[in-house]
Amino acid sequence: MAIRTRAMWIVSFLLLFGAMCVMENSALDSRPETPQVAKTSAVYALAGEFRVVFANLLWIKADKYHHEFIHQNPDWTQDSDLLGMLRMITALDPTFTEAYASGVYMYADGQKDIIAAQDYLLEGLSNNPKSADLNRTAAIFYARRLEDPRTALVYARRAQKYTTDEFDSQVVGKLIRTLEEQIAEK
Amino acid sequence: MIALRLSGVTKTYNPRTRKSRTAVDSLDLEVPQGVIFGFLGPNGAGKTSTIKMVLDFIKPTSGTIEIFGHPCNAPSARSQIGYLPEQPYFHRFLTPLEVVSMHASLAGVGKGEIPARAEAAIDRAGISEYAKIPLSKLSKGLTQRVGIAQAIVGEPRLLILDEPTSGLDPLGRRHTRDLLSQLKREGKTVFLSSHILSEIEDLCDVVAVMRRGELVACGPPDHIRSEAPQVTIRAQRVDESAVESLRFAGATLQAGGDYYLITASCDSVYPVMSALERSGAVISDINTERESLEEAFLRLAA
Amino acid sequence: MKPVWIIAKATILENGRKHVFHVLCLLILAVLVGSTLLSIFTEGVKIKMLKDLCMTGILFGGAVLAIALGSSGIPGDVESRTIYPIIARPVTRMQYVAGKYLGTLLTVVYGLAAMGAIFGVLIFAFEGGPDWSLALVMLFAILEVAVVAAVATTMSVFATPATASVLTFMVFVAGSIKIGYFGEMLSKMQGGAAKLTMGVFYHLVPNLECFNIKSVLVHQEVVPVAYLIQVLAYGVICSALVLLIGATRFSAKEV
Repeated sequence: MAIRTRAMWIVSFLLLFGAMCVMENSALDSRPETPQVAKTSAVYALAGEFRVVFANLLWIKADKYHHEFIHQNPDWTQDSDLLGMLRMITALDPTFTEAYASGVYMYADGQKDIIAAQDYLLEGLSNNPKSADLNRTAAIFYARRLEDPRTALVYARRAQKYTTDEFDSQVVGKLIRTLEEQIAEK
Repeated sequence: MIALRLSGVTKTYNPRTRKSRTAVDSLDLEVPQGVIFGFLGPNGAGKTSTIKMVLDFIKPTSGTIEIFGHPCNAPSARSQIGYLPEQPYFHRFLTPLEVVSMHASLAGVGKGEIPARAEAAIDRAGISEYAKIPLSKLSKGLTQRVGIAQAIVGEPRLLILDEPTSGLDPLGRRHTRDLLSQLKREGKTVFLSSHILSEIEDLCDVVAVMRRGELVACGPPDHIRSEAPQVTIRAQRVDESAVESLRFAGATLQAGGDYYLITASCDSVYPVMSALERSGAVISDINTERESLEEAFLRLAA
Repeated sequence: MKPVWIIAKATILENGRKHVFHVLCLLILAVLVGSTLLSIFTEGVKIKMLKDLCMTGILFGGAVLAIALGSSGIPGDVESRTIYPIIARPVTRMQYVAGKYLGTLLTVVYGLAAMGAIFGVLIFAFEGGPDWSLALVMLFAILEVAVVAAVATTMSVFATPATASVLTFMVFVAGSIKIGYFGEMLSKMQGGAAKLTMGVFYHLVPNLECFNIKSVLVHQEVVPVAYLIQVLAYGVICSALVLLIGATRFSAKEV
């Protein structure tokens, strides 16, 4: 191949490569924020897309253990063994809001560990700020456990903003009115 | 006009390594337009490497190759070639009509013309009744004919055929030979590589013989064969004194029971006949033989 | 373009008859059907898991299909010698590679489209209505598969089918965790030769993670249009560049 032709090919490759890098960086800049995987282990990061599959499979197992437990003890919040599984599920899939919600109740009602419950709740909210379910859980938690209706009201309003279900919206609406009354009384 | 020209073409595999091997060495070859050109050589002579270079499957280490004046790798050259590989392979699930139509399209035949051209090519190859049967159900010989059909469908000016009658029955071979003769009459150039020397002898206008990468002979078959025909005489009652005289005259003798087979060139036939007459020998048979192309090939390629 | 399309058509017909195509499509179908057997959960979780598992199955299955078909196309033609009559024609090596790639890609697209249609029916059955975001997610899944197929085709020019498959799968895995793993690693590295090497590696590996917009379907997230357009452009440029490397190498290769 003539030197000139070869040089043209090399320049073309470099230009295409440069365009590719620019486009990639630009896309990453406008990429929506995604929940960060727990940095505790490279294995979790390396699992890639399969993290989500594993999380789902673990949820199936967790559900099975939950039903076995409630046969013997109706108070499911006492099932502390599940907490480890729930933590693993949310580590693998930070968007698994159901696991966060269940874990918060287990910490608060079962373990009586309000601080751990609050930490877990805030972790879930930072990864899923637009989750109506978690925002409602936070509103109830702050209202009941921490007796902080003002903070609870903030979360309740977010829950109403993000919910898509009419019934849920009405329930949260009642919660908002209750919290507003509590704030007014104070 | 020269249909195919190779100038100083050399092909060395794995150059600059210990396993370096020169398959073709400074080959100069010209194939005139409108002839059937036979390309011969023993195994390993460099025929396949040469054909691959002509078709741009591999690059020559040095030298140039032109097809009708165009470099062999130019689309303008490749569009004038029809190629039949040795033992052609096509997708087994396709029918002959589909294969030939696909190659017609690749050869640049217009969309509207493809069905007619494909059917005509299949008809010329003698496989019309098998046109719509998948290749997986056809024999090797019929697949070979499909290969011939796809080679001619684009009406190329230069046909490169590698063992075109391989796998064909005698009728098929005859049909193919007739087809090649017809193509020549149409003005096409046929570059033919084959091990069936009798066919080369009958068909080809020009023959080239390769040996260990070098061209050792090139020309009409008559020129390739040794010039002088030989005379073979079967004679009886040849006495010992006559044997010496015959040998002195340049003949070779082979004893066979009560007779001798005496072989001499045409130049020395008169002295031989005179010696036999003087000795009173009885001549029972005289034959004139020319060296066959096979014998010439064995002589040149050995 | 005509030779490209002719070769692509022959490749589609050839790939459609390969066992690996049928087996992988059946496996993806098994994942789709298996995901419907989650009736023990509440509605919200069930639909989320259905979408998660099905999309993962489609994405992974599509990638494996692209790797299997792409890495065996050209070497298969060379070994079976069906390539010779084709490249003897006025068909450039680049057109041949482009045709093989297009045929491979379209075969995988047909498979994914069928799986996507079945998935859409499942979503319709479970949610009581269509979810049109599936079309957008499938489009970007196809774009991801296009990049993987280009890598597989290019690798097959340099290596045997088995080696090409393994290398392409490694690129697929690396590309799927590029942002989350390699990006994080790069940002934490101190400057120097190690960071430079990592940076070069980071940019050489195709970013497959950016094509995964499954959250649009699963979590009803809104993805900015600017991001989608840039990712689309990135996918096209990346596929073209990778393919160009393979086609250039094949042009110089002795067959």
